[in-house]
Amino acid sequence: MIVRSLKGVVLAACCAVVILPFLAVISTSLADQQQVTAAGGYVLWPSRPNLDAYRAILAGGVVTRALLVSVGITVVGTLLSLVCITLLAYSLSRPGSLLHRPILLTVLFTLLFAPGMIPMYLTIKQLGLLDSYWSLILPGLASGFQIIIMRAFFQEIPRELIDAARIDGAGELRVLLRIVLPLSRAVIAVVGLFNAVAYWNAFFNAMLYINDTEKWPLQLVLRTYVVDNSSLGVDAADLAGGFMPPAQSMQMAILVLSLVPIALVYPFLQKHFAKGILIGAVKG
Amino acid sequence: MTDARFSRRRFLTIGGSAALLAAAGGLTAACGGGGSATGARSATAKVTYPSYIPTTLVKPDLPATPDGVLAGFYRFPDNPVTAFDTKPGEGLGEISVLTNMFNPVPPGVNSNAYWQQLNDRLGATLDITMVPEADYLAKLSTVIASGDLPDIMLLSARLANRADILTRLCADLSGLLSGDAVKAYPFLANIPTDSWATTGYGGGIYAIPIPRAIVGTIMFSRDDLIEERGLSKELSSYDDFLALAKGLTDASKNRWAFGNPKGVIAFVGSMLDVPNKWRVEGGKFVSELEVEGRKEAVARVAEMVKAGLFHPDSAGGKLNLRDLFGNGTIALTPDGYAAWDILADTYRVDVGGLVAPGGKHRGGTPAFAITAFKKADEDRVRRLLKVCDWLAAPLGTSEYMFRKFGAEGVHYTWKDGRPEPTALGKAEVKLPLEYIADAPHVLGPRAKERVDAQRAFQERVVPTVVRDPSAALYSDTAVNKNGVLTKIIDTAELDIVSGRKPISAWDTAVAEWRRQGGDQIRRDYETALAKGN
Repeated sequence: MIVRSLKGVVLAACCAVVILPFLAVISTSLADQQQVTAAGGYVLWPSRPNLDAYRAILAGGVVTRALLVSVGITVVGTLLSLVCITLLAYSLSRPGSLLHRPILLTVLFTLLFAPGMIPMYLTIKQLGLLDSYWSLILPGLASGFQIIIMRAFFQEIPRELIDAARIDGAGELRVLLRIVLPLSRAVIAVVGLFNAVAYWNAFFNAMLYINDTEKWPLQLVLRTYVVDNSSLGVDAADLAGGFMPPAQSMQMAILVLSLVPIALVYPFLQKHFAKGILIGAVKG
Repeated sequence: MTDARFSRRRFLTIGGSAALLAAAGGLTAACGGGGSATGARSATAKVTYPSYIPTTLVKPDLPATPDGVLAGFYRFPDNPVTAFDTKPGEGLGEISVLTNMFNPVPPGVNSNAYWQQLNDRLGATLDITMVPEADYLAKLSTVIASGDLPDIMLLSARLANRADILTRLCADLSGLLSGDAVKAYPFLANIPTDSWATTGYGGGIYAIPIPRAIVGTIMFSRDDLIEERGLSKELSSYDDFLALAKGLTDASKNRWAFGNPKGVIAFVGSMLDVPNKWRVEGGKFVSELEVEGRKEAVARVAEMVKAGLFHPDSAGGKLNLRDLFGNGTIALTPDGYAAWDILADTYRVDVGGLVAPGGKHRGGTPAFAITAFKKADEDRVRRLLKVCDWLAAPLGTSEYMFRKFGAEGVHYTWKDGRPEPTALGKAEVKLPLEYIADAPHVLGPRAKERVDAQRAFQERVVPTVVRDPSAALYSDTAVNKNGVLTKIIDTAELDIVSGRKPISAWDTAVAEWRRQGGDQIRRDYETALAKGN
């Protein structure tokens, strides 16, 4: 009995360690300035909850527009990435495919050397992609690391299955679509999730390539709240003295807003996620 | 704030410097060799800075003083004056601008009536690329390297190879702004001479400043708490300061005097005659780090930390100092001068400024950054300057009211003598125009007591301001090695004040600072000064 109680206490403590930060973030996002001030930063339970911070963020339609942009980039980017990565990984998993070795070496080469900021910018500029959504999608379309993970997974699929399909008259595309992909849901899910999270979280590339603020993704818009409110200084002096929701609650509201979409997707992919990580761990 | 911001991005500065130089060369060729490199990057003494001609268009309640005390307003002037009878950007077409922003991003021009009206008033299309402050240097470096310069760009003081970029890529404004020529732009002439220091290189003027007050950082005090405990903020010695700090500390009630050791070191340093960054003695530069007073300031602050006068988490540097000041957890906090109103308005507490005993006040950086212009024919540059002149129109003009608050009745209404933003105003009037060009800051408009208190503080300290003698000089090492050098000193200070190392570690750190770049900066400045002479 004592052992069980002890286990309960330990588990409750573990839960608290996980839950309390989330509670603090959500509670602070709902608190007003007085409570934030009294608590010295984070509020654990708002006594007078209000949605002022959310209202301020969502006013003007900038954030909602950015949300749509981010969803668009994430969905289109992830789908295109999956298509490219799957096709490339499948072809590289089959020995004897056209230019197998040079292409594989090229993919591996990208793991060793990342392009610098300025060369990337110049490339994007010369391709005429500045201020285009494609500048946020195309550069990260096929990650070498993910190609290697997926290739490793495809190589695990028994060769006899593929040979059997061939004997039944299936071509490469049919083998891929009917045999390989249905068996590869786990790795597709994990690569998809990797890409989705990367597209969703990216802000730096948008900062460099997108000048038109109407095309900014959510993370870059939110960054203007989080980073800059935290460094309010001489330059944030507001002569008007107009009302601004408390910086801290606004930042926490932003955290909540940016976490919600990815948190909604995660539970459905989580079981594949752990499995996918293991694939990469044992064979590369 | 400034140090942290720049050190975070130092790697970009350094990483990008080679490319920047390469780009500079390439562009020079592209411009037809228009701007010759000057070699002497910091020969600034020959520069004739624009004359300072305070505007008489608007009469403040308390006029600005020539030595840098800000003008004060008790209320918004009735019937703002319209300073421009023509559209300043007429004929310019599109004006591309690259600048940073502190505010949340505003709606784009297509869905922003304020922006559209601004374009209409300017007579040109202002195409602003705005970048969050934290990422600005990365964007600026990349854009410069790409060779695709905007018409107007904000250049940070920490931009690597700034002198080369200004002299090779940017328009020489000397003929348009030097001396009395600036009269053609009355609101640029309204910017005090102090603020122009970083705009001159190789005998020319290449930019206009975003002005800031010379008063810089203030040690803010919770005057209500000081009064409540029967203490005095009139300090005649370090012991008075120590007594005040002790009187304000009550650990059992979660109350401490301070939350930030670095700011207190600077404050104690000003009591000990520590120079503002550098001191010039017979043409030789002596760093503030090398004087005995600075070392003693670190030792004194270490004693104060040991005596428990600092918030227990102060060494971490992650405290939200303003909130802690607002809720009374700490009672003294160094912050930028504009924080006076922010602290008083946000937390509704009595805020005051502490004057260091010893009669010296460390001056601030009198410009946030500088705004430069892409090379173009003189007529275009002249018009672009006129647009900046419009953007620098001061409080009391209709241009200022529109710039800061938008259109009356649409973006703001009047309430108790103050403009109250409407919902539309809050959403739309957030363009970072003040980082293209701006008027000098003023005190207020606020209640008379507040403005008088701020003014009294400035009148007391500004005559004693210790200015930075390197402000008008340029050193590549100072820019490119800023992060490394700052870290050496910050780490040493933190180790000493937190008791991890003895005060003798200071000498080792300063020697390291000298070796890693401090001595080179000194040589750069001495050479620059000598060339100027």
